[in-house]
Amino acid sequence: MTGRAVSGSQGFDAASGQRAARPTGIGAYLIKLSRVAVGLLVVVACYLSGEWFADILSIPVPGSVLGMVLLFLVLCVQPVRLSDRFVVPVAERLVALIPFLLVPAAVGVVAHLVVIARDAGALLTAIVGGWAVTLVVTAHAAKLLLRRANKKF
Amino acid sequence: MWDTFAQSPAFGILVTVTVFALAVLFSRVLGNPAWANPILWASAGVVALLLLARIDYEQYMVGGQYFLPLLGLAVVALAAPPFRHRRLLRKSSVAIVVAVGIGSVAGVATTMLLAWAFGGSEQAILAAAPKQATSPVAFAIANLSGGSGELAAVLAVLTGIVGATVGPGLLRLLRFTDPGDRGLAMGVSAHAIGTARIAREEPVAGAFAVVGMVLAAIYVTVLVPIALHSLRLAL
Repeated sequence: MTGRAVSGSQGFDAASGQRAARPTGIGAYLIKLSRVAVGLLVVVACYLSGEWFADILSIPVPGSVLGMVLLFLVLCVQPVRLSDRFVVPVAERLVALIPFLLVPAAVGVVAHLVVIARDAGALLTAIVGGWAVTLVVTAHAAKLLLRRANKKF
Repeated sequence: MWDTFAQSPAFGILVTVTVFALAVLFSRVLGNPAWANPILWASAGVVALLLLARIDYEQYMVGGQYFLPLLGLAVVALAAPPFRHRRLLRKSSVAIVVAVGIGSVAGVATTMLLAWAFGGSEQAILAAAPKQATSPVAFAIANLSGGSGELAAVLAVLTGIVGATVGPGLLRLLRFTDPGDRGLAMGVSAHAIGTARIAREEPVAGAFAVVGMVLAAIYVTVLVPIALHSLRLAL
């Protein structure tokens, strides 16, 4: 469901593994816990800032998406070592939770069965047609633009 | 005893955890094909359970409501996967951003026009419009535009399943062999479910798909309110 499957090769896990003396037992656990806490704090701060921005700008954009853009900027601005060690592991754990968190939201469709039954044809056409056009147009645009970008290098 | 339990938040939480675990197990046993998507089958399972046991949706949501704020937090966390692949972005960022933009505009426009042309109601159009974005983002967009977030999330999952199942084959048929083209097309058209599918067999394309999926989610967020506004003006 998430990007976890393709990530993991990079990052600083390898670097931290090379350190000579690693704390063990309860010490290691506390260090890990504080890292998770710091990472989570950064994500929550971005979420709240995003909600706040959406509110004061009164734009029809979810605060969570603004928060995501903000978190990406924060990750890029702070030293890479900090991002990779504190925020990225926690954030990826959260991303992996998305399918599970979506279940109560998806269960809510029972309240909309009338709409689904009435508009089944329109919805199905929109899903398949919209998907096919997106796939083909994106692939063509990427082919055209990426080749041109790679020629320059 | 049972009544107290059924009225408490523990009921909704426990049902969700149990049914989701079963759905993941079901998917694993079958080798994780796209159609065995745990979100789809877990939600269907919960719905079936509620209907069979004659339990109100509201009663389930006493516990279920606790998941929704976390979903917003998880959307923020979506910044991490593309950050891992930032090297990719650094090399050809403009090309990627423009290509995903073109694909997203085409996708949102076609989806909304098809839903409208085939006689969809306003509720159907509002829910279908953001379905190209990854489900939690589609959920947030539809809620904000006055549509059903629940329906939008389910439509997004269905789009992902169609894309993950048919996408790689169709791309091969159209002779797209470059991992960049294949990955971006899969990520933009079938978000996380398509990304998981292509990443399994083509890791390089998978990295492009991750970047494409998150960029597309941002584009769709901006495009949907604009498109809805212009559709309302035109009608």
